[in-house]
Amino acid sequence: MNKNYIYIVLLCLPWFYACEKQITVDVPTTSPKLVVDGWFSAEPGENGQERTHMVRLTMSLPYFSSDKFPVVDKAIVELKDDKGNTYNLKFDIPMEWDANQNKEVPNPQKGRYILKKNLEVGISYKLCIALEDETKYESEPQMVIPYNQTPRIFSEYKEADDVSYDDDGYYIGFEPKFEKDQDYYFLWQLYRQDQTGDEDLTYSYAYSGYLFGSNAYTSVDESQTYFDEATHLGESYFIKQYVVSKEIYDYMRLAEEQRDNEGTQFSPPPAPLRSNIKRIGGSNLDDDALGLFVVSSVQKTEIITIKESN
Amino acid sequence: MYRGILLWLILIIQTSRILAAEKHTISGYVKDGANGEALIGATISIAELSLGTVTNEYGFYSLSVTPGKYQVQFSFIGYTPVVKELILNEDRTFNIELKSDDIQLNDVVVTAQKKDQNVKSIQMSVEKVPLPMVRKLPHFLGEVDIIKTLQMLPGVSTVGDGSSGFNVRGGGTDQNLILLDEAPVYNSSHLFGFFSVFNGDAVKDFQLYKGGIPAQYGGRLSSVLDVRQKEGNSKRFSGSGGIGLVSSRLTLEGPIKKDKTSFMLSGRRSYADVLLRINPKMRDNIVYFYDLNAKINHKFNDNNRLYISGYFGNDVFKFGKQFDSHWGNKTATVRWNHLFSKKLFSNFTGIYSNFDYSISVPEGTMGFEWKSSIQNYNLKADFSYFPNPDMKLKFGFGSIYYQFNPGKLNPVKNSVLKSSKLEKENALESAAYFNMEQNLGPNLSVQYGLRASNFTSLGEKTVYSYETNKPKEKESSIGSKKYERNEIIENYFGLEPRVAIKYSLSDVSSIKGSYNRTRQYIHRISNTTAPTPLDIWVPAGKHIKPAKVDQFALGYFRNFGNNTWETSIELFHKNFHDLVEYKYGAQLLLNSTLETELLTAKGRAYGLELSIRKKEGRLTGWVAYTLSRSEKKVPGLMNASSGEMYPSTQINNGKYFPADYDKTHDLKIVANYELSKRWSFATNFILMSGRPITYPYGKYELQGNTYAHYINRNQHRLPTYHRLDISFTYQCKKKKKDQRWQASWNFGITNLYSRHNAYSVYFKESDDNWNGYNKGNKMEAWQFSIIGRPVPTITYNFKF
Repeated sequence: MNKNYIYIVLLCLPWFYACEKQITVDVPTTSPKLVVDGWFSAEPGENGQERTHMVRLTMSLPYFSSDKFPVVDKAIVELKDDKGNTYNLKFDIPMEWDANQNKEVPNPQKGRYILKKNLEVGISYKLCIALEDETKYESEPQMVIPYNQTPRIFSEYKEADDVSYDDDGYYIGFEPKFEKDQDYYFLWQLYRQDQTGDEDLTYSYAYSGYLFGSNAYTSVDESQTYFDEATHLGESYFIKQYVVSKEIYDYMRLAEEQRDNEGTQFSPPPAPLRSNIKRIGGSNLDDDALGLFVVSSVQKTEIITIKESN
Repeated sequence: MYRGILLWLILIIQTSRILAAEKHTISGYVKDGANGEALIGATISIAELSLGTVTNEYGFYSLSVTPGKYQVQFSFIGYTPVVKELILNEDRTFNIELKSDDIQLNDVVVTAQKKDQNVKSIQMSVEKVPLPMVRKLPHFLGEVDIIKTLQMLPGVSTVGDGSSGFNVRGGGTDQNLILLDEAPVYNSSHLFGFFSVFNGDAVKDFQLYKGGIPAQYGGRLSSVLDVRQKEGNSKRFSGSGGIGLVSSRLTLEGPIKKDKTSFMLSGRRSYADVLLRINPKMRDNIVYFYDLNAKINHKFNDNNRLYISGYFGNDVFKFGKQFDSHWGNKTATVRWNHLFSKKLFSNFTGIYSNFDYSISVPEGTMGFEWKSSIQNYNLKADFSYFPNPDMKLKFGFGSIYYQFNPGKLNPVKNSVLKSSKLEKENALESAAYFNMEQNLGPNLSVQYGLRASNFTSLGEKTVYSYETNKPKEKESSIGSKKYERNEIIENYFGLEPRVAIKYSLSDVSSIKGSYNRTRQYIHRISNTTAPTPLDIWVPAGKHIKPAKVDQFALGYFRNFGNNTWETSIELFHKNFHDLVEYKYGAQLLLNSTLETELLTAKGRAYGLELSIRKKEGRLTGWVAYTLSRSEKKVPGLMNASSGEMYPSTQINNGKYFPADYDKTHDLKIVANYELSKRWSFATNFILMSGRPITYPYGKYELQGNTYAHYINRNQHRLPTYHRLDISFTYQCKKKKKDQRWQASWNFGITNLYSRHNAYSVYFKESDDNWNGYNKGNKMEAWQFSIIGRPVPTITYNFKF
């Protein structure tokens, strides 16, 4: 039940008299903070290879700054497991196609630390970071949570309406399958699979944002859920289900709500997002890094191709 | 404890009987001669003895004096005083009807209180505005609004335009006990706060206690708004009404049996939904409200009167075929006034009150219907005993049985959702009280009282247990217990002392002080700045404690110009305990373990209220300024093993932070000027600090998205709020002198100089960011204003 419906009422009633305008606001600033964007999953690498994991380190900016987020490229980043193993991540700058130069060039802004390794289900991992100024951070350990159920994927034709679907078309839905032995927390993301040029290889990319769900919240237990991005006939899609800890789930959910928070009287107060990356020797929570270190197991649905008969 | 109170009361009564053995009592009712309405606060005085009293809420008075012959004066502002020579050699009943002065609708006299009431009365921190004055003030879209008028008084505020409820002396909106003919009203607004549930034509009197709350009131921390409906014209059939741009109303009243039985029926409906159909994009949307007030009263004899009153109101909102919502209050009150003797007045009351709402998505695979409600059944007995002119004793007792239905979700046909339901909860709240008002000399008066309250939360309910000294989380639950129907889950008992004192410095000045402790056993669960109809009420129980407040107040009151000018300065300080606060990201809807989302907070509010009022003459009105702070603190829970606080249990590192409704400066100017016999002009000006808001301290990138970095809550303010409203009232000329139909036109403009007061400030990515392949990083701040332009109103009012 979205309280934003109340906001719609407020727009309906005095629509003759309400107005919006851009304003200048003096927002406070704080010293730049380390931002960790690290997502590790236990999904095996493709074609027998080790999976490539990435951690992006940047710094925060003043809110109205137009600068690009500064990339931290001289840190020591390590992944440690609960068996005592340590894996070093290496800084890497990806190559990207530059239309002006008509060739691939390195893009330092996309620099990240990478590790090629298949994670093990049931093992806990933590991320350790040491900056050039010897400031050190360490994440809370997270386990790759074993899970055996995969959602059922399907597509359905829907007509546009004012609430859920902007366009007529085929929409992907899924039925999660919950195990009852404990509380699980899920993120679901829709992927689209395309084929590359002449090599008949496929690549996939995220087609939607995350949907959230948990068997801890029973009102929509095992109900069908739909992504609200329309798909296209003849194209292929699948869903990845990430099983994460409750802390990660709460963080991601709160972050999503934060982005939609318009500060009205019917909005809850915006919350500080508490990272799971702690500063070693820090005196309070404000010393910790921003961002998130995520470890998850992954279940992947079958691939479906959108056809008119679906 | 209850037995102790009873014994003390018997002692008081017996003692006063002995002391009064040589006196006789005159008692009776004071009413309006034109319509038979009881006059509340009319004065009965005997100049020879320098004694007097005032009528109570039912127009009843009682005065005991030594035998003799006296000139007894009955007076009420706006009415011609009556002096009667009475020989008091025995107890006598004397009912009187006063005739109003020859006044038009644009009466210059704006108070129904005794002229020096603010100085002479022991009661402080109470606000009362006569209905004729309320009707003349500029109102949004022309709708007479008691709540909006209260918000123009010192110490009363709101978080912004279109907000439901009001805040009194730094208290939350759920801390106000709102009574309509003694029935609690849980949601005092229509259409999310744009209009009040109180139809001005159906209301006879209202007053707001901001502090020094008498012991007969309890259950809320910050204020009591006591609204009384009209009884109905017992002399002749009459009516009144109005047609405005957004709503219309009609009130009919009259005798069923003259001077014995009368009725009042008042209805109102808005038609904003009609206006929406003008816009093709809004045509399928419906937004309107309606309400109905009804009352019937019967006088059996001089000692027995029966009143039956009710209210029914509903808000309807439909967003095309996708969304449908209803919410509304229902109340019913049955009261029996009985005079046991000339000195002992009693009132026995049975009350039913209900607030419910439903939300539905009527069709589709995610279709559902959700309902929630709160109901209470209340029985109470109140007594007023007037042993002698220097003492007035009130005492009573009562019980309220609550039924909480926090939420039930039913899927519609073809919906994939599962049915879900939160357990209903029941509770019983009982109280006994006494309140003594006593003159200890010509200059000193005291009021002292005690309220003893008890609250019991009852099954049937499943209650979870959690590890002690750890945050309550579902994962830390160590078990549960199923309580059977009406089995006691938890019991709370508390004493609420109430004390007030007044010392008269002169005939025109006094100083007053008061202290009250109040307890609140039910809480509205809402983590938004303003309440919404989707909020639920929950009782105190195993995991939620009753909230308490201690309020101290001190004031100086001074009148000038033969009581034409009233001035006052009041200081107040409140300490709140066991307030409910919410974890960041709290999931409050359909949550069977709501206690895992709640935190315990302390609060404090303190301030200064200045008031200057002019009550007579062509120019009347007031200037009210409040300087105040309202703060909360959530200290959190300490992890015993690490010595650090659990982050999820703290807000702002456990330090005090401004409450959502904190307003440092609050200035209101209200004026009404009689331009001529037919024309009057009224204006409101409001200037106040913006409400607290949380701004980001920076931004960062995560998974390709930009997020705001927030640290501490409510450290900044919205822009200052100010607004000017005006209205003109034209009293139509009667075609014949004895014509019953009287009419007036009211023309108004809200927000005359088009101030864009911020309803919200939000942040978003600039549209310039999307320039093809490379995504930019620029953020923008936008301000949304609800009333961003002048809003004109025209209303035609009539009465016959």
